[in-house]
This record gives sequence, structure tokens and C-alpha cells, in this order.
Amino acid sequence: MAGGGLREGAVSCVLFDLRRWLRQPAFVATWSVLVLLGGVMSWLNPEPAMPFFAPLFAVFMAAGDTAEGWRRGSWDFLVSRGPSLARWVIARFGLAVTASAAVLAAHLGASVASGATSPGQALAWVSTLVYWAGVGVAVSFWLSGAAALTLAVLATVLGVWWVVSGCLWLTGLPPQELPWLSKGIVAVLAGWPVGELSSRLGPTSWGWEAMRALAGLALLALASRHAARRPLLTREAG
Amino acid sequence: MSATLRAAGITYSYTKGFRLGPVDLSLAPGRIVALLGSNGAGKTTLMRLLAGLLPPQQGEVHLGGGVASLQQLRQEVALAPTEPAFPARATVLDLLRLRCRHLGIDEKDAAKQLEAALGRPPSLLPARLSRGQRLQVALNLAFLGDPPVLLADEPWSGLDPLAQDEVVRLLAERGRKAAVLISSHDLGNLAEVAHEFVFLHHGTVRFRGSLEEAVAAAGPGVHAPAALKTLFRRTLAEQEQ
Repeated sequence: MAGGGLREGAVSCVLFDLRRWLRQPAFVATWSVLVLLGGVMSWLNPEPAMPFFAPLFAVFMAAGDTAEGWRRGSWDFLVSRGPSLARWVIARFGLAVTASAAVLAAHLGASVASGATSPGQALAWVSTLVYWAGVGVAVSFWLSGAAALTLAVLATVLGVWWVVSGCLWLTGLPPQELPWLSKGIVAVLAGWPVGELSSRLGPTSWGWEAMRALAGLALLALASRHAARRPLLTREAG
Repeated sequence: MSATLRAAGITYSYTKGFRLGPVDLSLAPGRIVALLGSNGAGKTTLMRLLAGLLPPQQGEVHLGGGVASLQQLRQEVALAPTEPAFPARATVLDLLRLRCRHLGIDEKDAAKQLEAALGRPPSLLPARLSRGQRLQVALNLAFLGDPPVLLADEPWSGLDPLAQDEVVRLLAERGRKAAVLISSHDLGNLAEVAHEFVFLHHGTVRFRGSLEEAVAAAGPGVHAPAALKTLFRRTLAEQEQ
């Protein structure tokens, strides 16, 4: 029977993509250096090292080369007598979260173990990874990994600007005084670090952090649904 | 397994104006259908519709009696494209493993067969292979798991004569059990392997029949594959008028 289980199919996709990532020396070098750097920095000083690099991997890997594959027509090979597009989307999301979580663990693990970072703050970071991996797969049909990464960086810059001066400048109110919905939208959609942004918006709560993860999962669901229905039109052929 | 694939009045239009169809076409197990037509006639579009890679804008594709979803078609219909676009940084072995695991077949045997067909190790990136070898990879991947329906787009283009003979033999062998559609400009190979011929021109079917019918339609004293060429030329000429 073709297809196997959902888990089995997704694992085949993850292994396939993992091998392709491992053939990108620049990517492997960057990821390895950041993991090593995080480990060394955490060992020297049990403060959070540089966890803000982790979401970059989440969004970059989740977007991957989906759009390029669309233009080139390489999806024909993968979905014809192979796993469905929706399964590929889920696999890319899973791989992106896992690889970025490894970076996060290297930069935050010792800090959490020593108590310098609370488990709640660590989970907020995990929530951020899930969110940006969700954004990555959602935009992957149109944007390259590099473009999605740029989008994430711009969103972060915009989020920081909003909290620091933009909100006051545009609305005349500090962000803490805005209605809860506005705070929530900014906290979820803005980039990272989520903890600092959230604290500038008012007391950090599990609600805001969980909302970010839920938004990521909702984006994954939307992307999977879109993938299941999308035709594989590469170019106008005769 | 009932593998009859039937397109009923399917159409597809591109934004630039080309329109395919409405096309009716039946593929049955044990029969090889040849799809002929000039460049831009709609052969590739028709194959993509039958393989579930494009949704028909009108009409339906039936598989085994019922209307097939895109996902069903993608699972049951194997397509060997004429210009395979392999995913970046994936080796031939990666592609083989993925498909074998999905179809639940032994990947070691499949890898050995592919290596024997290629004469190169499957651990290579497709970019390191010649065009003919890449086409052989596409064909071998399409053959995996004995698909009930097989669509081959220009399966011998770029292959040397011996490799072409091998592909003809393999397609003839597959055609004993599976429903096979071959699109090609090579009338000699088609005459050797196909049971039925379908001429597509400007997106519509202009002729459909057996080789004997094509020979009869071409006129007295003309034999296959010259008859196919005569018919081809006549179809184009009728369109010009």
C-alpha cells in the first residue's frame, strides 16, 4: 500500500530534506558554529547566550527551497508516487523546529539549568520558534528561505521600533496603555526576543506566549491545507 | 486492480491563450497508447492533467470507475517527464529511497537495478549525469512499484540507439499489465510498441485509432511508421486549411 502512515511518510520527508541540508556546507558551518558558540558561552557564563539566532533557522529552514522547486518543477518528482505536498509541509516545519531548537538549547540550556533563565522564558522562546517555523512554511510557496528570513528580521525591527517609539509616535499612547488586543497582536506578530517585547507591552503572561505558538500551528494548518489543493503549475506548457 | 484511466471532456487553459480540450481519452491495462502532436499541441499539459499535477478546469478524470482526486491520481499514476527537474542537492539514491519507502518496496534491489541501468552509482547527484542518464533515472523511478498507469513523456529522447531499444522493451513489458501512455515524436519506436495512436493538434484530438487504421487512413502503399508521418502531415495540413 502506497503512502504508509502519516508519521512514516513525514519521517521519510524529514530524512530526505535533512540529507539535502547536510550537503550545504555554508549552512552546516553556520549552524555548527552557532551551536558550538552557544555551548561555549553558556559554559563560561550561565546567562542566556544568543538565543535570538535560533528563530532565524526556524524561518529559513521552514521556507527552504519550496518556491524554487515550484518554479523548476521539481515537486513533480516528489509528489508523483510520493508523499503528499501537505506531508512535505509538515516535515519541513518539524525539521525547522528541531534544528532551531538545537541552537536554542545550546544558547539557553545552561542558563535554564542554573536558574538564570526561567522555564517560562525558555518556553516563550520555543513558542517563538514554532511561530516563525509556521510563518516559514506559510510563505514558502512564494518566498525563498532567504526572503522569509529577511521578512522575519524586518518584523523584529518593526516590533522593536513599535514598542520603543512607534506606538507613542503614532497613537500618542505608550504600548502598555493600548487595549489588550493591540498588545496581543504586536506581541505575536513582532519578531523576538519575545520576553523583552512582551515585558515592554505589559506583564508577560502565558497567554501571549501560547498565542504565538498557536499562531504558528494555525499557519502550519493553513499551509498544509493550501498544499493539499495547490496545482503544480510550473510554466505554461503546450 | 482496475487501472482504467478515463479523461472525460477535460480542459485546461493557460493565461497566454493556449487551451487544451475538451479531451476524451481512455487508458486500459495491457494497452499502450501513443500520443502524437507537434510541439505545443498540448501533450505535456494532457499528461500533467492525467497525472494529477494540474486540475482540469472542466471535465473529470476517472480512475477505476470513480472520479479521481488529484491526490489519488498522484498516487496511482506514474509520470516520467521528458525534462526531469530533480530537487536541488538530492542524489539519485535519495530519490530512490524516498519513493521505495513510500511505495513499501525493497530499496536495495531497486538501487541495484538502477545502477545496472545507469552504469553509474546512484549516489551521484543528477547534475553529474548526462541528459540520457537523467531520463533513465526518471523512467526507472516511474517504473518502481509497478504503477497501474504509466505516462512517459518523450521516454527515449537523448538516448543512444541501444538504450532506446531497452526502453522500448521495458515499455512493451510494462504495457502487458499496466495502462501506458507514451508521448513522442519518434514514430518508429511508437509504431513498434503502441496499440493505439492519438493525434493531438492545437489542444484537440484529431485522430484516434490503431496502427492498421492509421495505415489505412494514410492511403495505399504506405507502411508504418511512414503512415504515421503521412497522417501527421495531413492533420497539420487540414488545420492550415
